[in-house]
Amino acid sequence: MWKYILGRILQAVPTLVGVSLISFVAMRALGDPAHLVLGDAATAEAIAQYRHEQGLDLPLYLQYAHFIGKALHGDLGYSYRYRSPVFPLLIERLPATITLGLSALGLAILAGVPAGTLAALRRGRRSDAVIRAFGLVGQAVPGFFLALLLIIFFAVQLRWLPTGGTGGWKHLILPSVSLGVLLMAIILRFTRSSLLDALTQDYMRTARSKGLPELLAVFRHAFPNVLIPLITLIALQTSVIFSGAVVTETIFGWPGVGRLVVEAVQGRDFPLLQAVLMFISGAVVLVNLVVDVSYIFLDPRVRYR
Amino acid sequence: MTMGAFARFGGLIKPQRTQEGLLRSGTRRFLTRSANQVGLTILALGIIAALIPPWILPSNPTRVAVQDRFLPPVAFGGTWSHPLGTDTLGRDLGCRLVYAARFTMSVTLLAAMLSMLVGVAAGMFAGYWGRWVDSAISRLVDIQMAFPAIFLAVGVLAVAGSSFLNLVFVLTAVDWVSYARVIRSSVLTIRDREYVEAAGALGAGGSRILFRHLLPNLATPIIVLLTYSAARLMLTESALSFLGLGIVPPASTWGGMTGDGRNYLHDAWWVSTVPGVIIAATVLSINFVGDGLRDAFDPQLK
Repeated sequence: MWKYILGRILQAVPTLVGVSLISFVAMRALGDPAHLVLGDAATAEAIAQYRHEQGLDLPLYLQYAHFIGKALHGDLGYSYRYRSPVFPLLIERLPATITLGLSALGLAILAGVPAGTLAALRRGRRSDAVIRAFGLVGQAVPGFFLALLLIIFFAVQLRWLPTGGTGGWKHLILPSVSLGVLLMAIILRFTRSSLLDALTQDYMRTARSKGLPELLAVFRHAFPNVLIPLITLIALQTSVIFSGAVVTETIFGWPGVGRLVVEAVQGRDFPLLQAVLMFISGAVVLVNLVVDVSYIFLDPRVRYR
Repeated sequence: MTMGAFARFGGLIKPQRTQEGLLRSGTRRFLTRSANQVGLTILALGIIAALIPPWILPSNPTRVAVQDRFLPPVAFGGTWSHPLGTDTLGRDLGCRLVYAARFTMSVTLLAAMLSMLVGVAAGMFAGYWGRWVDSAISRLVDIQMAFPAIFLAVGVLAVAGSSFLNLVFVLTAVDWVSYARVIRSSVLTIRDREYVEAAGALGAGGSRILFRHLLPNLATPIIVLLTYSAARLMLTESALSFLGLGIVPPASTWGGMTGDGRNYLHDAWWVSTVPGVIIAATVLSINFVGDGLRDAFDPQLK
């Protein structure tokens, strides 16, 4: 068990290094940070002095080492646009994105898992066809288009919900739905196909032949086997959620990390952009690591391997 | 010994004939499903729209006519001179959609092809050679998967600037992974088959085995992956263009057009919803075709 945990952690290390390396190289490829900070009017001496102060005249591998050292101490750089360190900015924006992501994911699980289960149990019937069609459409509709439709119907026409911004729970509904539909479609399709798969397994035939009612057999034997790949799938959606958050938060004026990225792009604030990129990708790696390790508690087969 | 065994034996001697048979029966299975017919038809319409030269269009898609701004579609009180309505600059939406089709389609198709080339090559090398090649490529896949696609694409486009080619490269960088993972595991399962061993025993080198023996057997999953990748890329491209990071105006893609109409939801909802419907319909059709191809040619692939 400890070997499994350790192995999994060791596997995440090169990924984290790679993520940081790509973020770092991208930052250097942008051109000279000194020019970006000081502007075109700066004198050659001022630029040389700034480069020296910031360690930009050191060899690249030393710069990378400094970059990592600082990052590990919570110093991710300095934002030109906000004139402040990046890390506190990021921490300030993170709760909004986590709230949005979790409520979208919650909606997606609450709707997607039961719908997928129902579709699998009623395979080939009309309800299955309707649910499948819903899943197909949910995966094909662009998130931004869905967001606009929701705004047009529920905010502009019916005036039930606000068009954007923050405030009470009402402000959370439209962004969560527009981010959650894609996730729901993914979860729904996966639940259906893996449950269909599980229903044909030998253990289900055994359960049926010993006289267990079908529904009981499904929930006691088939469902637990679907759950583990399903949790993996849901964990893999972390990066889908962040991707979707960029568009959703921009449309709804939701003050999260996704909008921070767009603001960084518009303000050509590259240190901010790179820091967010590295931080979020690192978070994705860590979430996947935590989920993999948690299998020890979820799946007895991992424990004894 | 049954007919099946004979057929298989015959297949060994004359591979073309069996393959043609498979191709023909698969195509028939594919074409009999109505979802596939609908998907193919919509896709064909999109491709035809992309091929129509702009000067044939009844009104110039880039011509500004402010006096005609925000005319609604015909079904909502508009006139037949602009059946799908006009946008904020009085440009005909229908003509703009046709004009934008060429950019949407070409970015998506080029990016899907490029990711296919890169991803299939990476997957085949990783699966066939194993050892350090495999670990290196697999780690690269892990790293790539950690970056949320839009984050990475937005970052790179902000730095490198928005252009047609940059868009294609960014999308390729985001999507090659989807091929690499599947192809790697497919290669792992067929690497130890007898025919590969036989080819090796006859003295075939690595590249001959890869391209003459493995690649043909991967054709079906590759084509199915290509359709799913095209659907995903069209959505990613649309989102990037929607955010204003797509190709440069007056050229536009459907996603860009949706983004243009974003600020006029109160006065002119059609400016953004009409292109949005087109994107959704096209992506849905590509997915139909992908599901259809998978079911018709390769039932094992999930």
